[in-house]
Parts: sequence; structure tokens; C-alpha cells
Amino acid sequence: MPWYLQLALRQLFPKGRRWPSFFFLLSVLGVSLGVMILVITQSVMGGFDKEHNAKMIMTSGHADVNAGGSVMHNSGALIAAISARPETLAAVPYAQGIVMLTHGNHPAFPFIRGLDLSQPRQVVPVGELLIAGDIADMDDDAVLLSSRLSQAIGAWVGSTVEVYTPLMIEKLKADEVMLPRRLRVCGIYETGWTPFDSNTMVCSLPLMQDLYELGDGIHGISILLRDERDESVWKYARSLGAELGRSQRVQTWMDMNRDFLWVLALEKNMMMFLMLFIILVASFAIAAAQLLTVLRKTREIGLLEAMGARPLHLGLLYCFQGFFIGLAGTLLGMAGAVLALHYRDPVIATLAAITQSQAALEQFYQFSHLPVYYDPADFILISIATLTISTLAGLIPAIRAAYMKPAEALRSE
Amino acid sequence: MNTQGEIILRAEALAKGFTIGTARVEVLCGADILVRAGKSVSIRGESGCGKTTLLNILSRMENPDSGLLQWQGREVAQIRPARLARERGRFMGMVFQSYYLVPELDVIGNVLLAAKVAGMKADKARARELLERVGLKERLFASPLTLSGGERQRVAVARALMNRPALMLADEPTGNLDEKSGAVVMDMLLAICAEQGASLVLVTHNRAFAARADESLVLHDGRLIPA
Repeated sequence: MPWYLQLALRQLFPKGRRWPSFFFLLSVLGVSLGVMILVITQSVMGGFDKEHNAKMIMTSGHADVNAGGSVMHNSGALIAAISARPETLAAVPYAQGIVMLTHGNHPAFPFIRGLDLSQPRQVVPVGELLIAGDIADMDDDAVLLSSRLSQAIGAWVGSTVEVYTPLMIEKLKADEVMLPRRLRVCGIYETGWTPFDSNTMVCSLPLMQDLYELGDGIHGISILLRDERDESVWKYARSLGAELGRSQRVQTWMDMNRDFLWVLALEKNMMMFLMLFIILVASFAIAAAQLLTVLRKTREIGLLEAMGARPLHLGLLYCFQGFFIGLAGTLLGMAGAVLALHYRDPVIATLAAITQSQAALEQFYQFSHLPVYYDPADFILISIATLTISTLAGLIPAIRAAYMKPAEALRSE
Repeated sequence: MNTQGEIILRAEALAKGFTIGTARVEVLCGADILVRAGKSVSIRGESGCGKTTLLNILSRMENPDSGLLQWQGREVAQIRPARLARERGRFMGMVFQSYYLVPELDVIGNVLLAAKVAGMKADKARARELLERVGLKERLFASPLTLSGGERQRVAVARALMNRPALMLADEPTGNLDEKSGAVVMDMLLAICAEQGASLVLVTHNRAFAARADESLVLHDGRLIPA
């Protein structure tokens, strides 16, 4: 080991002493707290992202084949071809649109999706999402309402709702008398995904085709894949897109939610950027402690120069100490973060109990427990940033040490 | 090993002055010194007359305003600045009044550090041999903080000799020691330098110690004159 590394370690961990130097501990503590907060923030944000992603996939599948809003007719062969691909787990045709819904005096304009519920494997597991009612009661005169929509119009299982489609309104303009379609509410579903829960409803595909007068037409096919890794989904979409040509568009769930995902990524990156300032503040502690060490060791530095030490090696002696403080702080901070996240639920439960905010947490965040996702990329990025900042913090004292004149250093009091 | 009679250190007409406030103080005004292989030279002088400055210039830790300085016939001014520290570390060993041991390293670690810093082989056997020679065989792994002043200075002597230097510079090596410890250190310094074939330039206030050198000089009015 080069002498400057050996001496750097010895200065941080003096021989014969049980504890490292006080300044070392203080600097490490500062860095570890910064790293801990960064890891916790990024892992919780990652957890939220994963939860959001899972909800997006649950409500739209991994991929979607559509004609850009146009109606696709005679799609049986296409559905069969997609289903026959080994990567495909399920392929369910759908038709969708907006309707006017009324229940008593309460109108709403929900988004309605008609699903082919005869498919053995569904993309959207509506049956599992029901909080009231039974999917077995579903027929071509029944609908499922999202939980917030049902609340908004005051409908529940067994209620009858009236539906007006845009086609009916067109006919009304032509002075035709159109009666609304009366449908039975046979279930209420909740996904935990606000955009889907707030104002949507589900019906059978034949009912939707009837409401929109599509004949055998559909608006698209939702696809669920066996391998849900992002790269596999992209690969599948590219390969299917190439096979289908320009007549149909293949979109992944990431394409369909691009804006939202961009906001999530921006939010996470901004959090990382802001939290990095904590590390920056800690780096000042490192710089101050190291500068103090250099001042304390001035005559020792003079001696090393007298013995033949090169300025570069003297600089490395203190730069390495900054690096080592960063390394120790990073490891300690990461371990602390993982430990804190491991016990997050009891901590949150205690805090919620003290502040009586458990209900508010569940209402606004829709997660009964704090989700966490450890992304190796976050750990690598945080480590690199912390080690770079810590090493740079050791640079100012290092430069001071490197440019000391030996005679002056030895003379110093 | 240097040939007997070979000139190890030559300094001619060294001049050095400092500006203190608006006043200019000339510390060295044409100091000359010649040290041959295996010989010892003592330098005495009043406090503040420039003895330490002279040693700093001889080791080129400080630049003279003018004058010639040669290490083993090689003009020091010709040595590239980047190589100067390493050349110094290999050519000479230094002993200071305040020992300057590294407290974080043990005794043998301090001795080995001299070799490592100068980019030479850290020969543990030689370090042990030197520490044994200065009577610290039992304290190899002790912390310098647990040693007495005399013991610390003996570690510093062993450290200075680690790289088999051709020249030893000792700046008041007994200045912080009591008379008895000082005498032990001085005996050891002179004896080991002689054994190792190292020349010695010794700065001291002590007339008796100075008289034991092969040549005694006094720094007076910026010049070195025979005592």
C-alpha cells in the first residue's frame, strides 16, 4: 500500500485507540445522514413509481393494438394471431368512448370501456377489483361503475342508470326521439389508481358495440405479456408493430402513459437533486475537519516534505481521507436507510396513530403501507455523487498541504 | 558507501535575507561550507543568527538568494523541482530538535516511513537493526506518544539513517533533552554516523558536543568561521 494511503488510514484510525478521530466520526455522520435521506427518498419514490406502474398495467395491459381511434373490423384473425404469439398471455378486444350517464338527478360523463368478458384470461381483472357486486351477474344490460363514479351519482349495485351516447345526441339533432339505454349496475370496482377509479365504467363488448353502433368493430386489443420487464415489452411492441405494418399502431403501457411517467421521473430526479444539497452541506464539514487536520499537522507535513514526499502524494494523503469519509458515510447511510425502510410500517403506524392521520394517508395516497423499491441504479448514482463530493471536499485541504513550503511548515507553531 | 575524502556537500557564498516589515535582514552573507565523506562538522552560533536557515538551505528546503550548493558534486540548482524532494530524501537524513515523529504510526512504522516517502524499499530488517542499535529493540511497536524525549530522538536518529544517507543534518538534536539524555543521543548520533559512513552537519549550542565533531564552525555575521 502506498505510504500516503497507509498514513491516511492511520490518521483516521489511530493505532491503539478504540475509536476513530472525533472529526472523522462527525464528518462520517454528516455524510451518512445525507446518504440515508437520499436513499430513503429515492427508494420510496421508486416504490411509488412501481405501484403506479403496476396500476397502469393492471388497467391497460402491457401493450395495446389500435388503429389510432378508428374502428377495426373483422379483427378475429388479428386477435387469434396475437394470442398465438408465445409471449402473449392474454389479448382482449375492447371498444371505448364517452357517454352521458344519469342516475336520478345526478349526471356524469364517464369514460366507458366495453370488454370481451368471454375471454378466458382478462387483461383488466375486473372480477378481482369489485368491492361490491358479482361479475357473474354481468350481461349485455349491465354495467360496472368505478367507486368514485358510483359515489358521484349515488348509484350502487342494483341501481338502474340511464346512458346517452353521442350517437343519440346526433339523432336528437335530426329530431328523432331517442330514449336512453337503461342499464343495471351489477358491480362497483376500485383499482387504487385514481384516473381509473374517478370517472370510468365497464360494460360488455357487445353492449358497447351496440351503444356506439360499431357492428363487429372494436377500437383496440389490450395485451398482457408473460414477461413484463420493460425491455421485453419494448421488444414485443417493436416485433408486433413490424408484423402489423402501418394499418395498426402498437403502443406499450409506457407509450400510453408517457406524460405521467415523465412527471414521475422528473419528480424523482428533482428530489435527488434537492437532497444532494444535504451531501453538499456535509462536504463542508469534511472540508472544515480536514482543513483543521492539515493545520494541526503542518509540521508533520513539513517533515514529510523534508523526507522527500512529493506534493502529489501529500495531496492524495488528504484527498483519500475525504474519499474514505465519503465511503464510510455512504456505507453507513445506506445501511441506515435500508434498516429504517425495513421498519417503515411500524414507524408510520406510530406516527399516524400519534397524529391520527391513518385515514387521511389511505384516502390521499391510496397505499395502505409505504411502498419501497430498491433500484441498484439509485444506489450506484448516490454512491458516485457522494464519493465525488467527499473527495472534492478533501481537495481544498489537500491543495493546501501539497503547496506548503517545508521550511515554513517545520517552523510553524 | 562513499569514498573517504569525497566531497559530500559544498556550499559557497550562500546569501539569504528576509524582509521584515520594511526592514531587510541579511541572515547569511557569503557562508561557505565543505563536508567530506564520513566527516562531521559542527556549527554553533547565537540564537537567531541563522543556523536553522543555513540547514534549510543546505537541504534546499529553502532557496538561497545567491550562492552555490552541491550535493556529491552535483549542483542542486540543476535538479528539477519535481525530483528535488525525492533526491533530498535519498541523499540526506535529518534530525530536528522537536523529533517530529508521526504519532499515528508505531516506532518501526516511523522509521520505515522515511524509506517509503523517499520511494525506496521499506526494509524491515534494516529498520529493526537501526532501532536495536539505538536501544529501542523492545519498543518497536510502541506508540511514539508513550516514549520519553530521549527515546523519541533516538527513533528520529534511526529514521534519519534508514535510507543510508550520505549526509546527516542535525538541528539542535539535544535541545529538548536533559543533559544525560542529550549525551546519550549525541553519543549515539556520532557513533552511528561513523558506523554507517554518513557525514554529519550538527547545529548545536553545546560547546562540548560541538567540539566532538571533526571540524567546528561558528556562524557569525552571516559567515561560517572556524571556532
